[in-house]
Amino acid sequence: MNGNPLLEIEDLFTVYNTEIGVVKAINGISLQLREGMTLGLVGETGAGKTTTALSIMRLLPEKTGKVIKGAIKFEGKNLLDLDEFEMEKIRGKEISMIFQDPLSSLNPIMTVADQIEEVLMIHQSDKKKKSYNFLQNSQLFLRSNTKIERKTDEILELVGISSDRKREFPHQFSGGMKQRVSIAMALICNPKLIIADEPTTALDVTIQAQVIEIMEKLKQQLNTAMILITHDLGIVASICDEIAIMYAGEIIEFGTVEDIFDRNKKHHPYTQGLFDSIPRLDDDKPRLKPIRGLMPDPTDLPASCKFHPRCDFCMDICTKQNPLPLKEQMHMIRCHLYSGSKEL
Amino acid sequence: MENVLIKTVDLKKYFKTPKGLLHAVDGVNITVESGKTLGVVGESGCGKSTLGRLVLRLIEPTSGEVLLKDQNILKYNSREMKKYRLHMQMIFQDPYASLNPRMSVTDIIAEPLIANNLCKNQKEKNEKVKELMDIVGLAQRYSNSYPHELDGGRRQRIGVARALAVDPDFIVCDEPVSALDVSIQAQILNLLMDLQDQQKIAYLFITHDLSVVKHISQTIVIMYLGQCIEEVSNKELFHNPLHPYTQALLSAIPIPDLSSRKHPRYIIKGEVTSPIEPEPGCRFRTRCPHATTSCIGRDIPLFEVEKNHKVACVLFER
Repeated sequence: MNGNPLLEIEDLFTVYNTEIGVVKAINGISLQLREGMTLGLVGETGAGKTTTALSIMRLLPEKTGKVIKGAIKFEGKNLLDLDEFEMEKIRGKEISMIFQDPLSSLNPIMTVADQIEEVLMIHQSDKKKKSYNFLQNSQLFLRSNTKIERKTDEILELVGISSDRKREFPHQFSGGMKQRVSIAMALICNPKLIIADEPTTALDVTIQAQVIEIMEKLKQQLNTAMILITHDLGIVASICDEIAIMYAGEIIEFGTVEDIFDRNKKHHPYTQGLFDSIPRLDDDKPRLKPIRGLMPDPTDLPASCKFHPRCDFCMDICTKQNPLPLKEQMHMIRCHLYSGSKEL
Repeated sequence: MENVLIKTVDLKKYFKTPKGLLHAVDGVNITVESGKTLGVVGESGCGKSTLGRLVLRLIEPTSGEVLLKDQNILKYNSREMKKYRLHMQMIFQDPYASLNPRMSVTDIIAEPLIANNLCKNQKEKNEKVKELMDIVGLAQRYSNSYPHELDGGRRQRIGVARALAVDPDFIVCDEPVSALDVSIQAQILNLLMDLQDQQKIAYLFITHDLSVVKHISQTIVIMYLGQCIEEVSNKELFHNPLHPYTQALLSAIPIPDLSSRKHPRYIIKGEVTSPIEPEPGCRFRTRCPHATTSCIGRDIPLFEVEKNHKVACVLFER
């Protein structure tokens, strides 16, 4: 166990005000992430994974998205209390994000090097920033510019792109290479926390394996904490330390990888359902056991357990009361099945 | 092999591009037996979707033959072809893009019936649509809904119902579950397998997901840059993959199990090379750890290593 809590989310509620009604995207999640750890956020479409990330980054769509309750503490500071100017200093420097689709997250009319350097320019100390603005032709600027250039070359080599290619544009790179560029951009300021939102979903498996290998290597080298958002339990098993399983805006199970992947331990029926739904290479089950039904409508969520309409173990109490979290050390489950016992 | 339903002979499709000829499918021989599933796996750009379209003659091949019950369908004109299309249907990847947003569920499912004059009157049509909706597990209350009102899983069920409408012997499934969440994906996979049991439909199942293809197929073809590089039964695929690319693919898949952490993964370097006018020789050689000079200069054919296991690699050439 290393490190102090880096990020603490306390009882967070986020909604989207849309034409069809209020979409309750996040319904009271609490999380803790320590320095250097990797947390996997797992769930299906609409579970609230990306909204969690956007809430932390304060990048929710301005007009519709809103955090209505809770706190997001980064190194003890509540990010929700900061003004936009202060938040800009954190975003990209202390916390950075890697998006799912490298094609749309890079600027098509800037060279790769320019995009990476832009991050550095913006986050330089104010004094140097002035020099960037006013003394573009002076010696001072040139000197700091070569420094920036060297840093850019270094980071590109680190993610496995030859620095000869840095004057190329995003469209000249393949999907896997583009994702490496966005990783480089995210890492350039040595952030303490990286949020990676489905970073490999758009890539082929062999390229995915390469990108995961790089992320793993860099994480160890730089000791960066990471929140990895994914729907792929395989990726989670290979690089995460802790896992939060999300369903309809709640964390329904949390634990270390050992807790979640130990099939002999107790699990939330939804977690169990997820494992039963995936076809596996290493065993020959003749039939999959899907979870019946569909995700609940986020504008009209049940007040009790959100999973009860799809649950095979649904009891009377499940339709009336939202279960409280039950804990055993790190392992947490929200389910009435286990609420008879005080511990798991 | 008995009961051969679909067979391709040296099927090729080259596309003209400004940079030269793109070899999308380059000499592929596959066989689909009736009532069985042939899985086709490969990464993006390997020609698997093009292969699916060629087999249905949705695009014309550059050369080669597609045999449906020993009849070369490429010889038929469009009127004769229409008759044969009743035997062959397709389910598309994207349930959002493959359904007409201005048609109701009933209209979409009934369209193949009307186009092929399979129902005499309105009543018969409605009954048939109702029956199809029951088969694929769509509740009757959706019959007047439009695609945008339904979620991905239900939309894909419409796609399945539409393909079943003409009572086909053979369906090409082009990534039918890759746009769906895992729990919904499992529902659709089970549905497809049940239909095969009940109606003895043969599938050509195209996907990039090895675990899905292994689950649903009896035989699996692995494609790389337009060529078939290994053909193997589903059990052998996991226990005894031979081609270095197949091994790399298998090893690249993250297994949802902690035991995978202990095994060092075998990660291949580099990326897929250009499919435009490739030089003769093994197309994987630029990324292959076992590449030698014998991999260059001539195309390596598929040959049988064991019964029902073919591979195209010089390492196994006798």
